[in-house]
Amino acid sequence: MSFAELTGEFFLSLLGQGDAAQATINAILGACLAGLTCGALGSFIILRRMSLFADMLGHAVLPGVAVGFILAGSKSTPALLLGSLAAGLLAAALTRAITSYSPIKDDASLGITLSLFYAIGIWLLSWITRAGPELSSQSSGLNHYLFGNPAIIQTVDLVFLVSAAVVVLALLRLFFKELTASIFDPAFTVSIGLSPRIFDGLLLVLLTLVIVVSLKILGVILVAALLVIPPATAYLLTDRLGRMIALSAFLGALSGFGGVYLDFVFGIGVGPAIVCLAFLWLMTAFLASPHHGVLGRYLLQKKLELKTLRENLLTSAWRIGERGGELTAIPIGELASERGEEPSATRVLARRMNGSGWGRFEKDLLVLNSAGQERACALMRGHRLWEIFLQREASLAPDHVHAGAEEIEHFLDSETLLELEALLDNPETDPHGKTIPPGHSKGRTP
Amino acid sequence: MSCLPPRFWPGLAATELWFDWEIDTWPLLMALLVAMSCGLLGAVFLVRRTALLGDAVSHSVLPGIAGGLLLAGIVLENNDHVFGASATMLFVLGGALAAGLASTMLIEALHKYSRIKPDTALGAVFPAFFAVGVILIRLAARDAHFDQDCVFYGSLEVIGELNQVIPTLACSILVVIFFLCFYKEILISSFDSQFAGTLGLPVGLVNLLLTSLLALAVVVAFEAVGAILVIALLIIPAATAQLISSRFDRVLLLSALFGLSAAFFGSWMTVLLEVVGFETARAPTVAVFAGLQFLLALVFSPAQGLLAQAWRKRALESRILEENLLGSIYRLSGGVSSQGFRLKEIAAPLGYPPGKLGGALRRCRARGELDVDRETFSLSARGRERIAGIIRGHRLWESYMIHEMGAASDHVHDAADYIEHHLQPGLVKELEELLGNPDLDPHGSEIPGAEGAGA
Repeated sequence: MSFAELTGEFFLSLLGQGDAAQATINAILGACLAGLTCGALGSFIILRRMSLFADMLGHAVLPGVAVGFILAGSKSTPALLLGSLAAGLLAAALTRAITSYSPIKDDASLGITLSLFYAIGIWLLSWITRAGPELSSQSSGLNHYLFGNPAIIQTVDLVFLVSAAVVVLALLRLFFKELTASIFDPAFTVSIGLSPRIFDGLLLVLLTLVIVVSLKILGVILVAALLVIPPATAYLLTDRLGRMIALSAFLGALSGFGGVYLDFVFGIGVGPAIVCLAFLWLMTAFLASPHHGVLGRYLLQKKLELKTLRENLLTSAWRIGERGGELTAIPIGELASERGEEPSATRVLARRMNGSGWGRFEKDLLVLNSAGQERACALMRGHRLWEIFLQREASLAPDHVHAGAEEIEHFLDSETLLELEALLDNPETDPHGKTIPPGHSKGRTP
Repeated sequence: MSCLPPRFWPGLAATELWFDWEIDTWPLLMALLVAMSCGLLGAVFLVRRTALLGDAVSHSVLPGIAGGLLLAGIVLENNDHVFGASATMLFVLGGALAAGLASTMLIEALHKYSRIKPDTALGAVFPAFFAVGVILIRLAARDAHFDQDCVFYGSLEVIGELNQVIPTLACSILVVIFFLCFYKEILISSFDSQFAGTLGLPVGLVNLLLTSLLALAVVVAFEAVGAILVIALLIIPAATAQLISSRFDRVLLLSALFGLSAAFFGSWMTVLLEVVGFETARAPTVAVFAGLQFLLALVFSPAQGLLAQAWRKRALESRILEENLLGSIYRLSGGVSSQGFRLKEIAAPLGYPPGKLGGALRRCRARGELDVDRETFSLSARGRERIAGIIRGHRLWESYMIHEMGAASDHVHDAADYIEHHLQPGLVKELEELLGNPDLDPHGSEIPGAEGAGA
């Protein structure tokens, strides 16, 4: 069947009746719920620097699944959940014990617990699959806990997923302030009489709970991905914690839905598809996020470079004007000799003044309008005030202050200028004896 | 033939409790080789505090392995019999190295060029690579090239001939040769890579070789123990060794040894468990045995074990109790008389219930540091000698705190009380020289002479 046909069938099956449709709907509900809950909780996890801990816990619940199965004698969901909850908490305790009582470092102890618990889980599973008919006949599908498989999601699993989502979201809402404080300012949390360890404990319990209910969808190895990748994506897109949580939960649910769809069409397995999709969002955000993406920051940097280049032309023009030249239209030749460049190079730069709103390049002249002249005046004033500041307040030698001022002139806003004026008593001349251009109240020509 | 008492295991032959060499030789050899090279490499990465690199590589080479298999299936379709397994192996190795490298670079880029923290970058990239690997493996398994379960369980059991062990053997030999040739470089660059650089050692080359060997070891281990269990062999024997010793050469050797013993006894355990009807896969059993060794070392290691720590703590506590007991008698007697005191009187200044001193009292008496006269205890010459040194340290420390640290004279006693049990003779000597051998402490009490019991 073609891609389009399969897509059509996927959406038709959502409207249909019968077991197949029910299974697809269950899978979608399960995957979306898991994505939502993991995404919301994951925001706290990555900010609390517990990403690797979550990865460890994901692997470490496996023996709990196996033991739960052995004790219950069947794939009874509550037994498996209880088993994995116990295994997760035990693993957390072991990690803590290893770091507290031995010279082994944090990351190594995570690795030890992860591999030890995982090995025990696999060991027990290998026994279950080889054991006598009474166990192994029941055990088919236990492998789904390794890769995950939402096709086996039943109503009881959905009930657990919904309850976990409600509990997690309610607790996060209830302790939002405290959790935020304990993540961003542990010292403050202590000072208001709360121990950050309580909230670490809360996060640990919620983490185990979420991992356990999401296992059937993602499997032990991939479950941590949904706790780390959507929040990391959201972290690149917003600076506000509330929005980050909402965005991350949305991305998690979206990946869940998309994963079920991709599996339906391509048959590549739901868990891996969800993770790949989530990772795709992360890569997109990494490249294209407006503020924190590689592309966005590149554009921002280019914009800043252009502004600096234009402003440097303005200050050069001002210096020419100071020596009695014309400030409205500066010949490129004069500008080039002031800047110590070839006129051809200056011409290239001057062309980039077009579109700045300060002036334009015209008939081998740099023509400045009144806004450009005003900006040049402000830049020069800032430059020279800063030189005085460096000399008087930072005690630098007069011949060492130019470079610092050259850089900062582009970033001095009017408020800082006013402060500098007040601090320096409105000086008339700079350390090199040059006149400081007047502020806004007085005339603007040199 | 049977040498076991039949009443324990009726109908059981001794041969069933030992390896059946016809079947078990190659799997055991494979396990030993994999465990040894993983043990050696893992120890270096653990000491370098990059223990999770093994975790990283083992998750992220999966797409490389699967991709290599798929590609080999496409490229070598017609002339499979010409190149055979070795050509496929090259594809797999190449793919694994490329995937390992790509994941490392991606992690680096994620936290270098964005605000994402390094641990989050790790936690995001591994599962993503693993997920891609799982998808590729599904595609490969569709063409029946590949057994999915071996990703998790390993397939030590199916190794039946020497040919299958040869890549692992080659890898292990490479690892051993590398360690023999570059031991010095590995050692120095692990602890002080800048220093190694100033010595002109090829740090970059050593690191590159180490990482490549790690990827190689993970790839050859993949067939034997699966993608994830290899982490256990990389980290756990190395951590066990670190619990026993802190010397680099010993950690390396012990780590390899613990790997070997886990492989041997783990394999044997599989045989034994099978006898009692507990049939398990071999690779996870090896990993579980490695974990067992770790837990044993965590408790029983002579240097760092929990028991040794508890024992040292207990010894220190009893010594402090004894010294407090003797010190209390010394102070009550004013340092000179050999007057005796009741237990209640001795305990009162220390704020202890008298019962708490019972053990210390017994030990001091046994060593002849106390004279007993009916219900009262006094210091013997030996006891006086022992405690005078402590009191001397205490009072010198008080003088030091007042003269050199400018502490108020009513603030120094508690600190001195604490430190008196930990002052070494060398430090006491330094204090004497610094303070000009004073006779009286800031409270006007006499400082006992260095030679023992004072006046």
